Amino acid sequence: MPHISIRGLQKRFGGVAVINDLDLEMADREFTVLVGPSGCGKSTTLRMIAGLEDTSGGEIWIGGREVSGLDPKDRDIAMVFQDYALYPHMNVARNMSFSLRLAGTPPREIEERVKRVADMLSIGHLLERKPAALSGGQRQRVAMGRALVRDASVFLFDEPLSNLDAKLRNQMRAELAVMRKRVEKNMIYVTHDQIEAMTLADRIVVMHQGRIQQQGSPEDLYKRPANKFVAGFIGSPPMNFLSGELNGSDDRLAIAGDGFHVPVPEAKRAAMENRTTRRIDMGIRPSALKPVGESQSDPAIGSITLTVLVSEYIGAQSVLVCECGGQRVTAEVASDTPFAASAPMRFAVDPAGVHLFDPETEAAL
Amino acid sequence: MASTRQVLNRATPYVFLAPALLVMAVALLYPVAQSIWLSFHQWSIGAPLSSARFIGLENYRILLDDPNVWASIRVTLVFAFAVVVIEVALGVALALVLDRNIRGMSVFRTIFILPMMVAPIVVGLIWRYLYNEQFGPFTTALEALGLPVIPWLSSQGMALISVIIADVWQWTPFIFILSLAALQSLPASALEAARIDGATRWQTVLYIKLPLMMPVIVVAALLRLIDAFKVLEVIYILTEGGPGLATEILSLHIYKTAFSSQQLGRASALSNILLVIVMTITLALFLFNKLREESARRAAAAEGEG
Ligand SMILES: Nc1ncnc2c1ncn2[C@@H]1O[C@H](COP(=O)(O)OP(=O)(O)O)[C@@H](O)[C@H]1O
Ligand SMILES: [Mg+2]
Repeated sequence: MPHISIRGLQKRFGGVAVINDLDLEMADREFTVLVGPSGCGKSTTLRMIAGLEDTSGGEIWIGGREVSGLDPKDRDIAMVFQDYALYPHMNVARNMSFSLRLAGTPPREIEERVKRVADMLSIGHLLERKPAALSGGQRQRVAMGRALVRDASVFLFDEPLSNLDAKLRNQMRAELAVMRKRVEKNMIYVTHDQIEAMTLADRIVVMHQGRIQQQGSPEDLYKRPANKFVAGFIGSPPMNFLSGELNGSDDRLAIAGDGFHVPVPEAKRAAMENRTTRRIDMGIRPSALKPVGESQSDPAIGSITLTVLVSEYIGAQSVLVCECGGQRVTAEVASDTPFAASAPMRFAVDPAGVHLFDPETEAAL
Repeated sequence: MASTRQVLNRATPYVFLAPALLVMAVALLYPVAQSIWLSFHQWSIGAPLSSARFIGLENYRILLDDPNVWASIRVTLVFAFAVVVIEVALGVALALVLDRNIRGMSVFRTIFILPMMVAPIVVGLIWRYLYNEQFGPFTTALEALGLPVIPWLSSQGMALISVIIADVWQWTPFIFILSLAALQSLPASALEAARIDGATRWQTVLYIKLPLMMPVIVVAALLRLIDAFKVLEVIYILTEGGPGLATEILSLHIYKTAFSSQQLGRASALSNILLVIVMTITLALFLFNKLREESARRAAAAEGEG
């Protein structure tokens, strides 16, 4: 059972560096999600692991074997493509069994394996159809099935859900989450959708501009983002960022700016005190803002005054899109919270939900 | 009740089609009709058309009794099928080999399609020079190597082969560019999927590329087949149909009947026979293809129910 290890991986297209010195370790049977904005090099990384793209430097080890010079067929991998990449001239059964037939698997066994996987994905009734006669969701399952019938040791997924409509995507995401518990293999999954990443991953690797920004469990990344990029990328609605100044000292140390005053949480005080600059970036999750009445005021709890622009109703919760000293701020509140448009509204800020970043390096403090 | 407007709406497409149909009728149907009319008459060039004498099916009777006509039909069929089979095999193989992004490949490809752009008369002249049995390059080369000289165009056995080689030289590029276009429009990710699924280069060609290229190859082959029945210039310049009747394909026979023997009625009858042969073969291939697809679909449907 393989353990995948990527060391100093690089990729240049022409003179343009797309992947810079990527190091990544994946334990056996781990579901790793590479997530990042479009164009950050996720697909390129995955394709290098698959052997569809040459590396420009570095090593790829799968199960104690350096594979970067090997053909895809010698790497023992299966892959699901973003556009499904089904063979248009073969029916579903033949699409799924292509690799087994090439490998000379006995027909009885092929039939049995195709049937088992097809039933698992509920496409058993489609086996004789050509891809052109399938819906998007069905094609997606066939692509998944083609990878699963193989007994490969590593499964690669390149945005397998991104071509589905929202409802089907949610449904398939849930099915994938169930399936990945059943199929105990090493899986690497690429997506630009942080919700997919959060729900599926054992470990998330956040990429940006060809570099790994941070890796860890979904909870790690959500609670302890390493920098402003990760903080803004993980979580929905995304984290608010406000620039402010440090003032006061000791237990009165706080971040203040136009319309807000938030005490620095005790754990972070030491780090603040020996900073040379007073400027600081503060990140607050929309869910860490609680509406409070004008009269209530507790100096231990921070407060921020926002002007509500619009309210986005999403059910039990509403997202209030507000403004604060020229900066956009969103707050996630219970839908029955009363509010008046374009009137100032006070929110309490839970200091535990506050993240601080260096305005120069954007690293978390 | 249909309003005037509806009627006008429905008539619009025909109104727009009318000029094209008119041109087609004049340019296409008129000659065919003329040729059919002429095939029932005896008429020679120079005499006024009004002097043409109606002789019923006499032209056809004479032609079908003529062993030379049958020999010519046989040569035509051998020539047409040989060139199409060889050109398709070579053209597709070349496309498969040259479908890669290596520097300079586009120059290479352009050179490959040059023969197709040369006028047939010139092709004939080039090959007549190449095949020349006194001083042609082939002969010189064979002599230099101490090998026996090949009677390219002067032997009964060799002439048809030589003519086929010239046609293959000119028209393989046609299959080549169409195949190359088909190859380059194949879904790239399906080919990558095949690599992941463990297909070797050769297996990818056999199981993915060729089946997906097939519709284009079939159409290209049909176009070549139809065209091969009509070649005239190259063979006329190379052999004039000889030696004997070894390379006298039907179009050449028609040409000679019309302009050497001056029997335009009979020539028209013969060209109608050629037309029927070409149409029969084309339709047969077309139907065969349709039936094959249909039976495949029916088999799939039957399995689906079972
Ligand atoms: N074949 C290629 N040639 C040149 N540039 C490429 C090629 N493939 C990808 N790139 C570039 O590499 C970067 C990363 O691409 P990709 O890995 O596809 O990103 P994503 O994270 O969206 O999957 C992009 O800027 C893209 O333009
Ligand atoms: Mg991508």
